[in-house]
Amino acid sequence: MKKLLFLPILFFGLSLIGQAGYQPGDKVNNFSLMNVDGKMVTMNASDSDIEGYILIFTCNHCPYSVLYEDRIIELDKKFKGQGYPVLAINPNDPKQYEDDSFEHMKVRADEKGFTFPYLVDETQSVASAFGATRTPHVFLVQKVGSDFVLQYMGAIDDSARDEEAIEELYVENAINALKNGQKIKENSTKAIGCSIKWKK
Amino acid sequence: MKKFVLLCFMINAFYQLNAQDYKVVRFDDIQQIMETKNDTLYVLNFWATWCKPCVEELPFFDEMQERYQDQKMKIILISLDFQSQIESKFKPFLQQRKLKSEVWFLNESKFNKFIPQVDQNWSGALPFTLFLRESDQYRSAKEGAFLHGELKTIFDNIFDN
Repeated sequence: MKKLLFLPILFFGLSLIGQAGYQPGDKVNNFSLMNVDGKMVTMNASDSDIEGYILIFTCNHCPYSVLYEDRIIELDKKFKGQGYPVLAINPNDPKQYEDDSFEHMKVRADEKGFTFPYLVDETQSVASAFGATRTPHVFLVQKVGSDFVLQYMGAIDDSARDEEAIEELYVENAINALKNGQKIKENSTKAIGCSIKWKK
Repeated sequence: MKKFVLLCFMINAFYQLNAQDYKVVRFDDIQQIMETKNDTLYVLNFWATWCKPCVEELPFFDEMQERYQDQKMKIILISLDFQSQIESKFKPFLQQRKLKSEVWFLNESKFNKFIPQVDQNWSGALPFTLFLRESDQYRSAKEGAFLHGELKTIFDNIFDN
């Protein structure tokens, strides 16, 4: 019996190896990051309209991020009024891609008419805490009391390159499941993306 | 006449292969390589022309291709470039770089299932490289680009000991 009890612990331990950052079910730390308008933004648990946030690590230079820009705007438009606004976060070292600098972020947010804050994670500590690895990389958090709990991490949908071939709207499905008190079908998905450009 | 048409077709195919210098593949083709049972070392490098760290490490793979071309090994550079940019970016890149390793173009759009099949620990970020050899169950993988010395050490350890 003791042996049987030990097994799950062993497997749990093994599953942690090689995975940094939060896992679905984990409480996440709040953050305070500068938006392109110069104001600091945090997740606001005291706002009664807020049910959670769609946090998206993204950037200017990555073609996969660019592919998703319009879809991210649509997500925000659709879910902001339902209590799940988008917060976009650029974690990249601008020394490696000038395109990802704060100045260029302002330009892109303006050009594309971002309906959501576009925050700079200058120290990369937020991306690191979440275990973000690529852009775009989504982390859906749900408000629980005064905390935020990670409920879904991964891709926005299942077909980055071909919008017409989309079969699974992972983020939308996850939010709808949360709203209906159902279990999220897939709470972690993978997608091709650009690696986050960590400071050297 | 039939023979002439066939000849024309063959010449055409030959030149196309040389001009393009890459092969369009699906997941199945990659899986086939991953399941090959022999003593060849397969090195699968997932990259794209738009991925700067990927492009930076390509010469290192080519150098290993030259250095160990007599060994039982095969380096395959699997591009995840966009279908819409084959003509504008991918082909010009190949023509300019004249890569020595084999180049594949992966024609797929659904990656959530495929990525863990390549490797459980791959998040999907590029570049990603997998080393496989069935005969001695050799397997190693890396997400992110190699430094020159780092890649050389791996190959040297495999072939020079």
